[in-house]
Amino acid sequence: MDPTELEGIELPSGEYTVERWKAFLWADATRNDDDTFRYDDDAIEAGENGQLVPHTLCQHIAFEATGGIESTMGRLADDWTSGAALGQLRATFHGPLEVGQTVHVEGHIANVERKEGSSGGLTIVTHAYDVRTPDDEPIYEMEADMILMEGA
Amino acid sequence: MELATLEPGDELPPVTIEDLQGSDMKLGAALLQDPYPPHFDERTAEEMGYPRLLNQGPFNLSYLLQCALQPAASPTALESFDTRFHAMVFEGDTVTASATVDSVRKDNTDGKPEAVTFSIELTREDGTVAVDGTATVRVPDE
Repeated sequence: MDPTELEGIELPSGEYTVERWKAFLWADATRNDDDTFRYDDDAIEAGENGQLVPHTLCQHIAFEATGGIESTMGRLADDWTSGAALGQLRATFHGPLEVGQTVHVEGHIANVERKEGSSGGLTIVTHAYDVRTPDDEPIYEMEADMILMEGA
Repeated sequence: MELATLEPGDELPPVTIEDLQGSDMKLGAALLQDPYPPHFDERTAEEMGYPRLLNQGPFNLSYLLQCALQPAASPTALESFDTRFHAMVFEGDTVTASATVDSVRKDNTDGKPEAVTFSIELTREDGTVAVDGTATVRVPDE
C-alpha cells in the first residue's frame, strides 16, 4: 500500500491496562531508580494514589490499545522490519498514568509526508493518539512520527 | 535544586547510564511485544549491519526524562516532551543525558513559576547526539 493513502484514516479504538509487573520491569530495564514505578508506598509518599506507569510506556499503550505494534507498523509497509524507525515523539500529559487503570485510546494518521533524506527518499507517517480515562477525562495526547526508508 | 528557583541557562546534574546491557534490551522487547529483531537477536542485528543489539527508542527517552525530572517530587510533574531521534544507541554503549533550562513559564497574575522547559540531549561517548528535544516539568503549588 502507498503510505500516502493512509493520511486521515482512523485507527481502531481500544483499551489497555498496564499491570504492576510491567511498570516494575520497565523501570528495571530502563535503569530508572524511581520506586514510584515499583511500589504503592513510594508513590503515595510522593503524593500519588498508587504505583505509577512510566511515561515512556505511552507509545506502547497507544499501539497496543489500537491493534498492536505489528498491526500499526504493518499498515505502513509489508516488511517494516527492513527499514522503519521512530523519528520523533511528542506527548502532553494531563493526568497521572496509574498501574491497573484502564485507559481508552483513539488514534488516527494525522499526516503523511515524503522527503528526500541524505541517504535517499523517506516517508514520515504521523500517528496521533488521544488517551482518556473511562470517564472521558484526558490523560495524554501523543504524536509519533514513524520514518519509512524507501527501498529498504 | 528546586524547580521554583531555576532560571534559563541552569543545568541539572547529568545522568550517565554506563554499559547498556543486551539483557535489558531483550527484556524491553518482550515487555513491548516488539518483534524488531535487532532489539533481541544478535545474529540478525549483525546481518543488518549493526555492531551489537540496538537500544529501543523509549529507553533513550527514559534516560532523558530521568534527568529532567530530578528536581520533581513526583514523575507526574512531567507536563510534556518533544523528542527527535537522530542516531542509534547500542549494547555496550555509555550514554549521558543532560538538561538545561530553556525557559520558565510564569503565572500572569502573581509571576510565580508554573513550569520549567528544559532542552534535553542524550549523547553517546563519541559525542554523537542520539536524541534531543525539550521536556516541560510543572512547578508544584506552594
